[in-house]
Amino acid sequence: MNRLTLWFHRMGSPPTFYRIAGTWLAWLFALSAVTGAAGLYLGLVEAPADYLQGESVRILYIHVPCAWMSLFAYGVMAVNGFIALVWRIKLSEILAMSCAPIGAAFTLITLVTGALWGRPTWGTYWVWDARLTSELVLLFLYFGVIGLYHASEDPRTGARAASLLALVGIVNIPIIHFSVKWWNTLHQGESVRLIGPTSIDISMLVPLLLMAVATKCYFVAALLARARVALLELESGKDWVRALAMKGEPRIEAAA
Amino acid sequence: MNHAPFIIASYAVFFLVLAIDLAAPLLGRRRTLERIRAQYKRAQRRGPA
Repeated sequence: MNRLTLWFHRMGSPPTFYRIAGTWLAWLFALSAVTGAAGLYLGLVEAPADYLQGESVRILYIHVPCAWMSLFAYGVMAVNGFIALVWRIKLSEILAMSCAPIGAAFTLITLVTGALWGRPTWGTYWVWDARLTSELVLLFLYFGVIGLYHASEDPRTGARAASLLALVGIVNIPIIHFSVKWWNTLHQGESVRLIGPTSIDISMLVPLLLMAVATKCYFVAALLARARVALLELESGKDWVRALAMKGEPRIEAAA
Repeated sequence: MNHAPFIIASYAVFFLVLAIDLAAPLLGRRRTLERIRAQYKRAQRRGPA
């Protein structure tokens, strides 16, 4: 067994995952706070106002990273849902279901901040444009996954049903991404590209990317925190959870 | 148009939603451990079945 396979096997063990996730999430929250503080300072204080949008451009330093995260969280949920359905790995079920509330939170922020940016820029809070509507559909998909997961008394059955919905809903992700190209929308096209030229000034790009790092670190940290709680619930009858509840730390060697 | 209320409202929503999202697992972990501890203590008092 090579090192990578061994690492996956070790991480698949609930007590090992619980312990390692506990260490990682503290560092990730710290990294998220530092990059977020730097991004907010640069975005709110140092970056200039936009020549067309004026001061309302400062809303985009949270709107755009949250929009990216709303899609990224769905992708992580669908991949874990696929693994949960095919290989029935308990940890993947937990990770998939833990993604849903965080993704819904990012989608809600995206929609609300987008509306608050749209009023001074477009003159309206909402239009039934392809990008906005498909993002709203994404929020409903997240709600559907959360609802379906909690509809079943057995969490593992609920997780598998919700994973299936998450997989079906993945079709919405390219629709959201390409909506500004496929249809004539009020929403502008992409300004930041992974490949190719970026059309925004460096003074605005740096705080935007810092906020993107902050939201990504927050997502992973929040995901690990939620997964740890779900793992405790699911494994509440196991020795390592009993040891943790009675003492404080899981006895990994006893459970391994 | 004054943009300040829109900027303030956006950042308020951002921090409020993330704070609620973060509070759920942090409080949930403590509550879950307390519930499990109480279950085991009750089981110990009852003795082996």
